[in-house]
Amino acid sequence: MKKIIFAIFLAVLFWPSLTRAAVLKNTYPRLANYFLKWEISNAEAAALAKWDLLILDMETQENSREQIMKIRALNPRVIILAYITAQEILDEIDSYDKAYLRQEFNQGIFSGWWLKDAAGNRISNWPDTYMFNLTDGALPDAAGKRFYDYLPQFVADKLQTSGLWDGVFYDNTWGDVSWINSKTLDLDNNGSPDSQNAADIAWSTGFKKMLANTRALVGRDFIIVGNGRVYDGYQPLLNGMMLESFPSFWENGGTWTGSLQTYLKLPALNLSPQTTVINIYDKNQANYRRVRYGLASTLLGHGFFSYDYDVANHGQTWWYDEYGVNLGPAQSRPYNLLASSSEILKPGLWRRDFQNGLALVNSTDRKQTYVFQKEELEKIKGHQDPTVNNGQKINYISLEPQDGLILLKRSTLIKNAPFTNGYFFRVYNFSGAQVRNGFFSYASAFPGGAEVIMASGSQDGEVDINISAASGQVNLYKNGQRVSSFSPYDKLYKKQLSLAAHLNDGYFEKVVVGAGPGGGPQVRVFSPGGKLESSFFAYDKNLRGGVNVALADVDDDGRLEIVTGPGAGTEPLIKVFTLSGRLKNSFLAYDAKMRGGVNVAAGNLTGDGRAEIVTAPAGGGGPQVRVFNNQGQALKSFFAYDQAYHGGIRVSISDVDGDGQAEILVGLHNFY
Amino acid sequence: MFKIIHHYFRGRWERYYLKSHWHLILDLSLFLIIVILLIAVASLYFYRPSLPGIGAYAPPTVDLNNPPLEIDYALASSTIKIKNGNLVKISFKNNGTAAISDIKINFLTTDANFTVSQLKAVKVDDRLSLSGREAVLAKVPAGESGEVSVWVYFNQKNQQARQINWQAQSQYNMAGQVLKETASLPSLTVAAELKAQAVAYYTSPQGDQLGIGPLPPLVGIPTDYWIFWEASSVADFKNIVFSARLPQGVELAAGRSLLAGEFNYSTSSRQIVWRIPELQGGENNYRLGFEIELIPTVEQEFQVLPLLSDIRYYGEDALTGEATRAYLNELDTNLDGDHFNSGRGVVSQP
Repeated sequence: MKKIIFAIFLAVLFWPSLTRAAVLKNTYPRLANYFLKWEISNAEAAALAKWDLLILDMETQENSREQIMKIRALNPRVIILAYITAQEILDEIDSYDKAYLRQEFNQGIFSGWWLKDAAGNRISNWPDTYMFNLTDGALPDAAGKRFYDYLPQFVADKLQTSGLWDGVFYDNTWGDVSWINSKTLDLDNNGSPDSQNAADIAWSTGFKKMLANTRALVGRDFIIVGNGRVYDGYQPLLNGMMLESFPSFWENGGTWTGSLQTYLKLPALNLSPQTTVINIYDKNQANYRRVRYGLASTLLGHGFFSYDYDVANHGQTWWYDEYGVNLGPAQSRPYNLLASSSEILKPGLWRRDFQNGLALVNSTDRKQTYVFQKEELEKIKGHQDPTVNNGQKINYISLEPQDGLILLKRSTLIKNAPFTNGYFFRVYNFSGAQVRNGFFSYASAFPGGAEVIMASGSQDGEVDINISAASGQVNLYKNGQRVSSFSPYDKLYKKQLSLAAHLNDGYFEKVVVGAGPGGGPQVRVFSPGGKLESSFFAYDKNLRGGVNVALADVDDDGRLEIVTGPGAGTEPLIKVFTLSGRLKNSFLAYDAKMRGGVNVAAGNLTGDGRAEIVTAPAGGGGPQVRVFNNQGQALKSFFAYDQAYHGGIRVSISDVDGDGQAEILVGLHNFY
Repeated sequence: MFKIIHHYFRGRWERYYLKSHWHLILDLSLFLIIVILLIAVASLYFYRPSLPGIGAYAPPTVDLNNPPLEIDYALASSTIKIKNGNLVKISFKNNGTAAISDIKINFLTTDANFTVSQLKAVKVDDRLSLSGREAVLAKVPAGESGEVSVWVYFNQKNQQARQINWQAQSQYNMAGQVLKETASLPSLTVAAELKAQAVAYYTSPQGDQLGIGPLPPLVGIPTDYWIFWEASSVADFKNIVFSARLPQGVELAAGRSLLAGEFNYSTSSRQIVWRIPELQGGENNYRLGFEIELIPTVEQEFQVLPLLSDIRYYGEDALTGEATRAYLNELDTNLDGDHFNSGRGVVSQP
């Protein structure tokens, strides 16, 4: 008795660690990989870490434990399900290599659990496999257990306890069985064929018991996903279904509309987290249209999308341009652009909106042209299908039948970082690749040419906080109302200002100002109310080129640093100061002969929490952007515009496309 | 007396002339020479240039403090536009007693910021000939006066300089002397040039897609273009106003980029107005960009459509007050300024 109590104690103690409560990301697309190899290489593991949901064969638990751990290390939020067939097993499993779990599973199989026909022959539905009888008609073993008891116990004991899995994926969760052998099935083992209806009822009843037993054993947080034609009776026990070969002939009439109806109804039936997967397979990896069609269809709901080779070969790590897009959270239900007043699901041009973009599906059998009224959207800048994903801004589409499209919303205003009002900005990633179309960042509430920072936050409800610096004056606004105004230098100083600020959920905690061209290189630090906190000259105080400022924690010491770039008239020496003006580091950003001034920005571009320093010639030099670490080590360098352009550029750092990764914004005031 | 002369010549007649008529010829020649010399002495003594049979002659001196030729210069304006030049009226009067010919007048600047490039006659005048920077008055008879006008044009060597300091040098010959006179001319203030341009882009000169929608435009589908206006000058300007009208079928879209001034649009008049109260010379931040949208109709198929009409601008030179008014060319879907898409303006069916 004591042993039992101790075992229960241990089970209670370790239960949470065995079953992680998976939390779905709220951004789209959600990607699944149906990867059924029994072993995973390191390279495959690295590739698989990019997916959100993995369905891995249970043998990888024994064969590729390290690789699974590696996947989790690379992607801590990944959901990994163990694949197991719910109703069959390979024949002569002991002859297979690397089939440890199947062999172990097979050892516990009682002979009375096989599904047989009236003549006593075992039933096979898939090459080299034999089916189990999941009904009450299966004979109990010595312990009185039937297969619907055994399988859940195996899942709980052998898979869940490994700690590797977030759930189990039961393949072939059919709601009926008579379609396999409609005339001779003998589920009750009485030597006579069962009627079709009786067989199906017995099958679904037994299968449901298997699922209920699984749920009882694995608990509420362990995900259970089924695969096969959707049977509503199972759904309250499941977290989702895989709709394989979407739109499959067996699902709800075999049409796109039927499959999508099923797909969209599942969230109301399944347990949370809901993990329905739409899978499409095609031997042509480059069938991009089919990928788009499937992915865009998936995006009409909350599920995960998977694309691979074949029903008998799910084991690819094919990655598509659309997969790398971050559409953000969903913002609408799907709606038909061809019949916007109707919510009836039927062939149409279906659209769903997301924070950063939208998904379109043409499920009709003809090409559809649609004009977006007052909307400017942008195609993905991809490399696989450049006729479609060419990065163009568009206001209309002509979409082929059975095609889909992911479009991005355009940001035309820089948030949470300083910009010169009205400048044109190109968008670059850390590597110097132009990732989005450029735009004019212009807020009509502020004077053209003013330095502006716009932010929003929610500390005291939703607030918009803006700060502008123009004609020698700094103004702070809250929800459009000016709340503070001060002259950082003498009131007679009416020149340009360089501006930087530290933002915290819509609040400006520090405002740093540098004098513009014509002024001395004096840096001043203010509270948001305009109280001077420190002041220092970053360069020779006799210079009159001004000073450009940026503000960030560049050395990861938990404190903000001021980064300065000189104005015109001196060498391009970047300096890093404490807020009080103590010099911490300095380095040359360009050749010492380049004396046209340097604009600076600072922010975390790599996701490591440490801000990089980005520089750009303010004038006189080519449009060469450079990225440095705190020590002045050049990390990247690229020309943001035509190398012949010497009119000066400015830089800023902000996540303009909402993908969680900051971009380098390179602005110029004019094209000429 | 007569008897003495008669006696003298009779004696010579008898003694020489009858013997050889060469004596007579010699004496007559000597007499003629003496007469000529006497007349010359007398002419010089009386300084009568118009003595009959002698022709003009010069007196021995010229009063430099009061030269016979008076020349005055009058400028049409104290401010000029450098490309227009300035009109100079040259008034002259010959106070002397003799005609003065070949009067050369040179116009010269006194510093290196500007040079006189050329002169042009206002009208054909026989008295006046022009050569380069030199005007030549052919002849001014004694006591006569008159005036001629010439356009004087300048080259600007220093784009920042606004004041032309200059003079006129006149030169003529009299009594064997070269008379030169230099007259300082009133300084001219150069009215600065207000440069303006309007251009329509679908793709920026740097290759960025600005516009949106089909190109060439398609019937029934909106195509958005970006229009840019820019003003610049080496000098300060004030009260600059750009305006234009949207043709029917073109609407103002949401996109905007303003580096200076104020943007206004009147939906009733369909007029776009950009005002810049002050423009600082040498700065290049005076640029407006705005997005317009065209939705071609079926009737407009096969046509190049106007995007912006009646584009005009106005500005006042802050120093001189000189106003500049001008028109800019209409912009159309052929996008002449867009080297990526120029010529792709004919509307077609989708």
